[in-house]
Amino acid sequence: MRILYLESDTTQARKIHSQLLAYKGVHWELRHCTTTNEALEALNGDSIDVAMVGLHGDEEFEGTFSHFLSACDRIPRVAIVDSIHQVQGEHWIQLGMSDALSTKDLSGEQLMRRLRLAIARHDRSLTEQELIQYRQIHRPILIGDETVESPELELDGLEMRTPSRDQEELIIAILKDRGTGRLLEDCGDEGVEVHVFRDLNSYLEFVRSHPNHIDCAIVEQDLFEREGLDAFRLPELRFPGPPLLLLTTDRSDAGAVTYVADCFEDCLPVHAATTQSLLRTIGFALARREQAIERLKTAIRNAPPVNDRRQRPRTGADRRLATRYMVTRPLLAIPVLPDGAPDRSGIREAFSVDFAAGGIGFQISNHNGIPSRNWVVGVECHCDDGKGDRFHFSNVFVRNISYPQGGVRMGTQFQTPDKDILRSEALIPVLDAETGRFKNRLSGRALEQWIEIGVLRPKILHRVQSCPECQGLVSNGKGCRECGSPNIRLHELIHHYACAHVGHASDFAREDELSCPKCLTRSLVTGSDFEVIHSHYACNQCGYEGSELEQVGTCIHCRLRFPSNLALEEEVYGYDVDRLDILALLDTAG
Amino acid sequence: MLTDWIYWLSSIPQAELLLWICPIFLTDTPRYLLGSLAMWIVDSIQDLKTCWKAEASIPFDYCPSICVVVAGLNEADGLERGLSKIWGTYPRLEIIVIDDGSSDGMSEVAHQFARSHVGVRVVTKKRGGKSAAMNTALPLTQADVIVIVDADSELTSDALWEIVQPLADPTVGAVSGNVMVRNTDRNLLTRLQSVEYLRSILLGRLLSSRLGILGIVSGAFGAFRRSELQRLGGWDVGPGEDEDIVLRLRKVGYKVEFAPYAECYTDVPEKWKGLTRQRRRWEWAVVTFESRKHIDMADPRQANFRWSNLALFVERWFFNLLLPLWFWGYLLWLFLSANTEYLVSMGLFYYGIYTLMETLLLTLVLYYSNHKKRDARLVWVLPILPLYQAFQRCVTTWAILEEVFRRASFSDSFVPAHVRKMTWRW
Repeated sequence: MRILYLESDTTQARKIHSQLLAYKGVHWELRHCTTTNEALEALNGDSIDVAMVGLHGDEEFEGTFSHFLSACDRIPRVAIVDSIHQVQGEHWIQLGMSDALSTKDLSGEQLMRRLRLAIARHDRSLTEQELIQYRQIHRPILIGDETVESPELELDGLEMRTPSRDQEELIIAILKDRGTGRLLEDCGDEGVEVHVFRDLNSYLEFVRSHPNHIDCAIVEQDLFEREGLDAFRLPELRFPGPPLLLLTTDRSDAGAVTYVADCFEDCLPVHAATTQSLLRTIGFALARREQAIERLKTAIRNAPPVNDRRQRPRTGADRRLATRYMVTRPLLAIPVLPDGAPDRSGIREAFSVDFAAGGIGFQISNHNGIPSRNWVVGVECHCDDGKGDRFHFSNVFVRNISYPQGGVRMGTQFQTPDKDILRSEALIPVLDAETGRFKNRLSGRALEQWIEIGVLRPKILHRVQSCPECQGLVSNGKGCRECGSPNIRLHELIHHYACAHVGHASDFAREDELSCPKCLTRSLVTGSDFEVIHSHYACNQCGYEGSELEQVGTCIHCRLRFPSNLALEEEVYGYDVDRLDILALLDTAG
Repeated sequence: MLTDWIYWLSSIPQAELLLWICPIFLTDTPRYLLGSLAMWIVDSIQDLKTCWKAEASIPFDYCPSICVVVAGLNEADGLERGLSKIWGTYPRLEIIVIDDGSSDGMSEVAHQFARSHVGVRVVTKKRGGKSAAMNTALPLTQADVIVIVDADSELTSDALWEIVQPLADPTVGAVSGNVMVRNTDRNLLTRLQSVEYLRSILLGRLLSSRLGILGIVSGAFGAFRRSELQRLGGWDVGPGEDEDIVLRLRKVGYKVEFAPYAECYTDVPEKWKGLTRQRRRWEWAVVTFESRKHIDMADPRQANFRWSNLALFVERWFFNLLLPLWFWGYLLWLFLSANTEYLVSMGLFYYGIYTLMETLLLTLVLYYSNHKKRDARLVWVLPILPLYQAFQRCVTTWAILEEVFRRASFSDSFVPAHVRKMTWRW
């Protein structure tokens, strides 16, 4: 851990250094700078994890260090003062410090612990992550909603009481630890209202009934470990929620760093908890939260517009990592029978609950039984072809079913390609080797029903020739005019330019060269001396000789040979469907 | 009286006598007139004998297998009509259509016809010239007789029967058909050519055939003994290949006959430019073949020398080489030696003589013609014929000179360039 210590007082710096020397927990390195320029140079050159700033009064802070603080925004900064007053410490924190520590009665171990907690807290509260988290919780994206929300609207959710500044009553929730509650109740401060909850549920109920009411929550370590981290990230707590403090019995720095990295603002050892330390920690936590909110507001104001595609997840995997988009849209839900046909009696108008790259959640009205877990879902989408909005369909598989009031809610995922009855490959007929005919994956009856309900549209893919006997596909080729056999032999004649003689190629062959039998010219060169004429063909099968080959059709199924003009003409239909492109849909939604 | 005539003739100065005799040969008319007249006399007597004895007409008793070769380039338009006139007119018939690299769909028309008519074969090849096209048929057939017909020509119903009959004589190697003008009534030029065809082909070839000096078989319609054609290797590279093959047959000892009633109708050029081009090609042959390539036929030292061949050559040289030059020489001499007044009166006199001779020739034509009424209608063009003959003399002279000095036949587009550059120049 590299520590930058900006301290104009070298004696004080030496003292801190000697205190840190006693600490053996992690490898550390202290870089002491006496001037701001020197510190900025160190920041640029070295990889600094945390900065300590020795402060000796507001004037000095404003005049000397404000520029430095703005320059080292990416690392936590801890104020080191001789003696600390809570209000002054909160003030410094509000100005950008992560913590404020007094060198009085501060051992090297305690100093290092505070520095490590500051680093963990800073890493957790990266502005961008907070921004994303905030948006996910407070601003569900409306698919198809073109309204661009202003930063002011977004900032509404960040309003939070600042009791220390507004002199209002500080409301503290104590989860389970009665002793700590009593410690605060007994502090005699009328500005503190303490609520003690025995378990998390009672606390959550209170939060639901009094939203944005609790200023700070102190959680006992046992309760946290029992309920888990996710329990404290519930939407009901409203982001960013009240700062959480952990009362821990764990004396190790590693445990405290982990807790702070998870979600807690600070860790208070139970054995060292006093009313004063509790109030100071709470005050600092609130000040930090206030500063974090200000920073978040700035980030939101400076953030690119929400519909800027560059900021959005680009891949399906990214989208899956993000949460589902809770959008209510009208749907057409069609159950699919085992033979691939639609269950026409089960077609329901539905509405979507959420969309994701992997599937759709939708709700239908009360249904007398779910006929199938295989459904085709149509979502109304806008089309750029000038035909207005129309349904775009996708084949989904129902993963889970719940029964909220007044309907059936189904969480679905898109069918895998091998089972998707609407994928383009499944809608194109393929040649059946057994019958020699084109065959669709779905039965003719099923296809007709899909067409009737408007999901599929037929289109002519091929106009093929078929066998007049068995309707098998016909292979066309040139063949003997008499018997249709492709087993023919072409006769070649040679035309000698010089003497105009034309004869069989064999007549010209003489030893290793070609020689004209009429004028006896030898060593004839093709192209310049002679040309080859394909005069006629002879059928090897029936012996027929002719000048023109016949276009012969051969049935690939029954092998019948016949003149091609006798073949039947048949139209092969494929099917079009307006496929739901969920990624495009999510992109459109922003 | 005879003595008086002799005295009168002997009293005429030699120059004056030449002045009076030479104009007779300024046109081709005397070439056919005297011989035809003699032939007519013989035939008339023969006819009278036949009538007197009431002999039956000679039946078609010779029926060899025939392969009709229809070779053409871009002849799609008239092909089907021509083929339909051939197909079915002879029992042992096969037809081979050779498309010599047409670009007008001739091959498709031929295939279309072949699909619905048995015994018709089509060969499509790249353009290689008419000789190669006709030769292509030779290895494809085993028929006894090869009959060549132009793709745009029409045969009469018994033309094939007529043309093969002379081949019953095994010494006959080739038979020329009677080519007639189909588009006679198109314009004056076609009518003039029609009279010319009747005179030079019907009468001329009939006479030559009787005299045994026929040296040409029309490319539009002719019959050949297949075995001999194959032995000779078929036609040589043209132009003039029809004359060349006949001379080669004569060289090996075969006779060439004319079948006057094997009629074939063909279209003749309707414009002077086309006519000039056609006639130049025809006239080149007398230089290329009779004077260069086959000059050995006139050499009595040759083993295969025949007097008939020499007579043929002499006749050709005299009428096709000498007289055109005579024509120009005489005109030059006339202008230099005689006065204008004398020229006009003599010109008018001989114009009358020519017209009279042409009328006499047409009368003889009508005697032999099968279409007397139709041919008689051409009588009104006879007065123009002497002028047409003068034009022909000019064309002939031009053709002879360009062939003698420039070998024009070897640069003519009648044969494609890639063949032309590979063939031999005689």
